[in-house]
Parts: sequence; structure tokens; C-alpha cells
Amino acid sequence: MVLLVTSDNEQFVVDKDVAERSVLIKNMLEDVGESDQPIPLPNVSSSVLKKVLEYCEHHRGEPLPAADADQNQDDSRKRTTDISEWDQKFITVDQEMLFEIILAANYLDIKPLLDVGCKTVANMIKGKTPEEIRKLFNIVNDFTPEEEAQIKKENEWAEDR
Amino acid sequence: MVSADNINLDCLGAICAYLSGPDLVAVSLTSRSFLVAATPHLYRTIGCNSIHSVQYKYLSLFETIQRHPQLALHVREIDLQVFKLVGTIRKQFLKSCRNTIENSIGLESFSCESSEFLDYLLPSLKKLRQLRTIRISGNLEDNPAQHLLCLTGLREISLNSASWNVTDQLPKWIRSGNSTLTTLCLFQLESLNEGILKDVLQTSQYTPNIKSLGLSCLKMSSNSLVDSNFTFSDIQHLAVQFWEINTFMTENVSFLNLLLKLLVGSHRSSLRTLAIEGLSRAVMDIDRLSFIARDCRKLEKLTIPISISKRSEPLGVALSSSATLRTFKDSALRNVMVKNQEIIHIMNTVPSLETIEENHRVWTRNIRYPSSSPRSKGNNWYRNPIE
Repeated sequence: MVLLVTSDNEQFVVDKDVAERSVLIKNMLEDVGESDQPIPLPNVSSSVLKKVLEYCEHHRGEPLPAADADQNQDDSRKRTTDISEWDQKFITVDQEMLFEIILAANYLDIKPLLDVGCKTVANMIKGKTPEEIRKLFNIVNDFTPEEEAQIKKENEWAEDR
Repeated sequence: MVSADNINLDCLGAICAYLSGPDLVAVSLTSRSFLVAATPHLYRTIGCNSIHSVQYKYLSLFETIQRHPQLALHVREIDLQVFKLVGTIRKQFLKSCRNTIENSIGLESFSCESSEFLDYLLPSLKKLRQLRTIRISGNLEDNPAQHLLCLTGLREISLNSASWNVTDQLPKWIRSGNSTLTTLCLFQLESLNEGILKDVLQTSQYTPNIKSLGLSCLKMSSNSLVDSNFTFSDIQHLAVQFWEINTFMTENVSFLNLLLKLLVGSHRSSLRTLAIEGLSRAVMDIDRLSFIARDCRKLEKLTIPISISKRSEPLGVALSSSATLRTFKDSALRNVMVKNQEIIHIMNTVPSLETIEENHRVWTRNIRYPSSSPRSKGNNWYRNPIE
């Protein structure tokens, strides 16, 4: 068993093989060796960690992606945005939680979870105009009209790729 | 509060990795931080495409990179497809294109279908140390062909209808510094004669990592395989395409027979894909097929000319010696229509099989979501999209 402590000081006791879905925690455990020391996760709140652990619990025992898997994935030109049924259900959360999960997965180094989060956001973006994307994510347009026109012109070639 | 607006650049970049084309352009126009995240993915693969005949558009792509050289650092793949350019636009295009290539120090893959571009652009590839894949076609002049020899450390060489001077120095090119090769694809090389093909196959002792081999030449001669010490047992993907079938039919068949003998001779065969295409009729007997299915223990996809109609029973038995075969394709060019029951029979006899292709029809066994489709109940979950 491993003891995890969140940013809001809540404690989670989890099986080692569940916690080790996180490469960060796995490396930490290897570094300290056998110990009952709690592992502090100052970047993750309890509500997010609960959600992340639900994912790790469901996928426990599955093979972890190899270190070079990322590169191989980049090779295939169009990466698929398919998400499995369970993951789809799991990631159906409000936008703030979605981005919290992405940040936590990035920090904890849980590549498959990061992928699920990023795919979900990518699917939300697909087919939208810049204005629609801004509206969707509540983003302020910080370009000057001139800059916007120039970027539009320079990236035009990729429009119908 | 965390939102897309203040999420860190790493995560934003990871999201952009799942987007392409117009979606990436839209993201780049959203805000400054989104532009920064989208740019590496936008410029990762660049090139021009014959469908898009709007010349100025691609000119502007390469001129943009010339104006902002830091964009070239993101480029990993350049794909130049044939299109016609004339006069000053052509000159401008080639110049900015060459400049882009020279600055793309991370370039991993270069494809070019136009020999007139290639003659001019090849020399600029020489200094790119990350280059792993080269796919080219066309007739090169003598001097540019020499530049190929300077491209070393490659993983993939694909030549499509290349001129004799390229074909001619292929064995030398492979031997000098390309022991890293994993994929070699020689497509429709008219001048690939018996001697050179043999020489190319002999180079396998210099290319221990070769996994994929694709061959298609005017005349396949079995002599090129005789005494070849090519280690077919390490090949994972093999594709042989015949053309000009009528002229050299008997020679093609003896080449094929010898090749298959070499392939299934070894029980250690690592073959995962075997594709034989371009033959008008079945040239392989069922027994040989059965040996392939049995001996190639990793075989996942098999494409051969066999004419399924009226042979589904022995075919099913032959293929059932494989526990791994997922896709079977009949590549015979003139086929009698296959009946539904024949496909069902083969599917029932070969449990690992998921897809059968013949006469441009695809039959699949839906095993991924058997519960979500009413057809998935029982054994009859075959689907023919044409029906």
C-alpha cells in the first residue's frame, strides 16, 4: 500500500500497482525504496486525485506504454482520436475537471490518461472556427487585427490539407 | 480556475498532436498561446499536393518559412507531389523550397515525385543528419543521382519508376552507409534487371535490420534468387507485384515458386504480411498455401491470387493451419463472383480471420463490438458493404 497526500491535505491509501500507473510515483517509490513515508502531491487536489485513481484502478494490470511509444505514435501521420467506451464515460466531466485531469495526468506522468484527455479536447475543437473555439473555452483574442490577418495568410496553405 | 486559457504549453501541445489541417489553423488563430502550441504541429509535415493547383499557395508556404527560418526547425516531413510550375514562379518556388530544406535540420522524411524538383533539391539533403526516410521517383540526371550516395543512415528507401542511373547504383548506395535500412521498396523499376536485383538481395548481409521488402519490376527472374543469401526468415513484410503479366508469365511463376520456397523453408519465419499482386489467375496450389499458413507462425495478412469461388473448402482447411491470420485477400485479377456461403464457410473454418477481401469487396467479421450489433448474435456476423 502507498500513502498519497493531496494539495488540500487529504490522504489516500492505494494499492502499489494502482499508484504505479503514475510513472512519477513509480519513480519516487523506486528512489525511496521500501518505506511508509507518505508521498506528497502538491499539484493535485483531492477531487482530481479521486478521479485519477478511478482511472488507474480500472486500468490496473494493463501493460504500461514503452518509453519510445510516443515517437512511434508521432510517426503515423494521422493519430486516431478514438476513445474506448469506458474511458469515454469516465472523461465525460465538466470542462474545468477535464483540464484538471489533463494537468494531473501530465504532472503524474500517466500517458494513457493524458491521451484520453487530449483526445477529448481535440474532438471538441474539430470542425470549429477560431471564434467558436474561443467561445467554447472562454478565451480572449489577444491578437491585433493585423497579426490575425497575417497568421491567416501564412497558414492558409494548411487549410485544405 | 484551470481552463484552456491557462493550461500549460506542454498539455496544449499534446492536444494539438491530435489535430490536423484546418483544425490546427483554427487553433493557431485563437490566441497567442494557442498559436505557440499549434505551430510545431502545423509545420511538422509540409508539402504540396497536385490536387491543389493554386500555385501561389505553396509558394507562400515556403516563402513564409524562408521569412521565418525558425519555423523550419519544426519540419519533420516534406512531401512534394507532382505539379506543373513554369517561369518565375517555378524559379521562386524551387529557391524557397531548397532554402527550407537546408534549414530543416530535424527533417526525418523526404518524398518527392517530380524529377525536375529532385535534380535541384537533392544536394540540399546531404547535410540533414536526421533524415531516415527517402521516397523518390523520376528520372535523375547523372550528377544528382550521385548525390544519393551521400544520403546515409537511412531507414527507408522507396524508389518509384526511377531511371537506370539510380537503379544502377542502388546496391552501392545501400552498401555504403545504409546498414540501418529497415524498409526497401522498389516499385516499377523498368531497369531493375536480374543482375541488379540479385545484387540488391545480396546486400542483405549489409542490412541486418531489414524488415520490409517491396518489389515490383518488369521482369522477375528466378535466377536473381538462386544462390542469393538473402535471409528471408527475418522479413516481416514482403510484397511482390507483377506487371506486364502476359509477356513474362512463366518466368514470373518460377520466380514466385522459388520465392515461396525460400520463404516457407524456415520455421523461424517472422513474416507478418505477405502480398503477391498483379497476376491474372491463381498460380499457387492449395498445398503450398497450407505450408505458408502453417510455417509462417506470425502471419497476419495474406494477399495471393487464388480465385476463391468453388475452392472455399480446401482454402478454409489450408488457412486454418494458421492461428494468427487476420486478413486474407484474393488478388487474382479475373475472378468469378464468390457466394456468401463460401465466405461464411471460410470464416467459420479459420477462427482468427477478421477480414476477407476479393474483387474490391470487403467482408468483415465484427468481433470488436459483438454486443452492439444485432447481427453479432450467433455466427452470422459477416457484413458485405456492397450488398
